[in-house]
Amino acid sequence: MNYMPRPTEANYNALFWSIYAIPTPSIATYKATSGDYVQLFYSHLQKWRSETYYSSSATELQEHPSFKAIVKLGKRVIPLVLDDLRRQPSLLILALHKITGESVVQDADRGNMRAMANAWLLWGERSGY
Amino acid sequence: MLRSLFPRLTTYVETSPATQDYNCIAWACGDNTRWWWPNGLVYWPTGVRCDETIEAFDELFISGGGFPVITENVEPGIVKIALFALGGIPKHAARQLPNGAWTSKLGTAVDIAHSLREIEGLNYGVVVRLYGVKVPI
Repeated sequence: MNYMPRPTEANYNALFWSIYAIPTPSIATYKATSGDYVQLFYSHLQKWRSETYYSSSATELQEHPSFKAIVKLGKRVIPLVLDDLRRQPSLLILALHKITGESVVQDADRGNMRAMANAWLLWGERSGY
Repeated sequence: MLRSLFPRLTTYVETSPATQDYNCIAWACGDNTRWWWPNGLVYWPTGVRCDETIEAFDELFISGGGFPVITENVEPGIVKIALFALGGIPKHAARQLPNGAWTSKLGTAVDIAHSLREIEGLNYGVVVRLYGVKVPI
């Protein structure tokens, strides 16, 4: 029997990419995939908390670059925000307000962290999150 | 960690665990259940000017029974509150304790007892107002 020479791993790779004519990806051309927003969210959240923990100013909290980055990630991070609020009521509710444009907290509950978080969690359930 | 934020802080005592339930303005006003700030999204008393200015905080403390005072010395029957601002923007408030020390809630972190001016600096700015509130002796 004639045996074809067993291709090396490099040959396999070259064959694959030539067949599908897809350029070999490199770090230089890497673009974030949709799944990366989860990692980005938690990275920004950690930075936001560690760099603003001394601040009482709700305005200052919202002006921090990491807070703005979280808001910029858009509606796809809503489940992550709600999950965090479920574990730890916090001013992360301000991000939900910015992302959705909605105001779900009743006047009487303003400032009460648990009541504000609960209002957003209820909103999340009603909105299918 | 606190000394990296407040380099002038020498001796201080942590007097509570960290919590996000209330902030410095609430704590200065004797409330440990809400986050106070004039941004329309958290608590701010109805009828008080709601913008991030020293004048709005003047209204807040004066409408709550406060009045301007000159010195930060202890005066029997008066609880004093200090407002800190940076570049004209309010950042923090502290309340005087009967022994002359001051109590501050630091953002989402702990309460501390400290000397008033030791938390002045790049984060909270400087004391721009002192208010007094009469209390029974």
